[in-house]
Amino acid sequence: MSIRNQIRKGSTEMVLLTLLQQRPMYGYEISQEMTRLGDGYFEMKEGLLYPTLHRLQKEGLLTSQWQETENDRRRKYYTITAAGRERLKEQAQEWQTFMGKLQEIINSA
Amino acid sequence: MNQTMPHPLINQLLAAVKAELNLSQETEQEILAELRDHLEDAWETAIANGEDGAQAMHKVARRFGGADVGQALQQVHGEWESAEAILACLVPVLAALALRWLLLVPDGAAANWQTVLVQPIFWLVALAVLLIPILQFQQWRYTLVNWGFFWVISLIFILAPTTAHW
Repeated sequence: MSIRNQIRKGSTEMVLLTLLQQRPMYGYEISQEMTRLGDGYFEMKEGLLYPTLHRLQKEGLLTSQWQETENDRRRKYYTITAAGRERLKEQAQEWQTFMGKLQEIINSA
Repeated sequence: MNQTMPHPLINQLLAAVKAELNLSQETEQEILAELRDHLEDAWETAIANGEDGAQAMHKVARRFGGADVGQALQQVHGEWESAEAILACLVPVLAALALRWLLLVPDGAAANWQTVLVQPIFWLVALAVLLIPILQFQQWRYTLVNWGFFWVISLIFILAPTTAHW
């Protein structure tokens, strides 16, 4: 697995929680936002978003709700929970520490 | 083909995902409905962007994934469904043990079973054991089966004199 894929895999959960911290979104909307904001860097097989979303929901970090749209379509919206916000805060701190330490090592070389 | 209609390849993709799933019917239906929404959104966006129908759908399919999506979903839901099914089975077992050893004491016989039936705690436990899993678990059928099983055992225990000292 390439370094890019490893980083991407390790950060998918944090990216999803960050996006859902802004507002509730449905799966396709999340994938579009990931592509747009990440400028394609976080692009992955879109279907593989769902196992991660469902796992986060099972862990109580997200909730979901089906909603009707104006064209009679149903969409499943995901909302971050208080536990999800807490997890995101922890992950963001950990990520900052990791990046700082990595940068120190790179600079010392 | 009318390009406002969902492409048949969507059904093929969903069939590939479904082939990897071995979950409760409700869970599978919900998963497939959500994935269908995604694929239809992606398809409609591609068409709205002026892409050719067949080419657009193949692009959507390539970006979405197939059996690998089903395998990952099965892994997530399978583990939770198994754990929940065990818990759903365990609730009536624990309640039956509690009722058997707490309410039918001291001699463990069913001689005074009539007095048990008038105790509110008996009905509270019996109903809670049924209602809590139905409201909380997707695998509530396991509870129902076990709940029914213990009721049958209880009736046999009460009505058949030879089983009075099990």
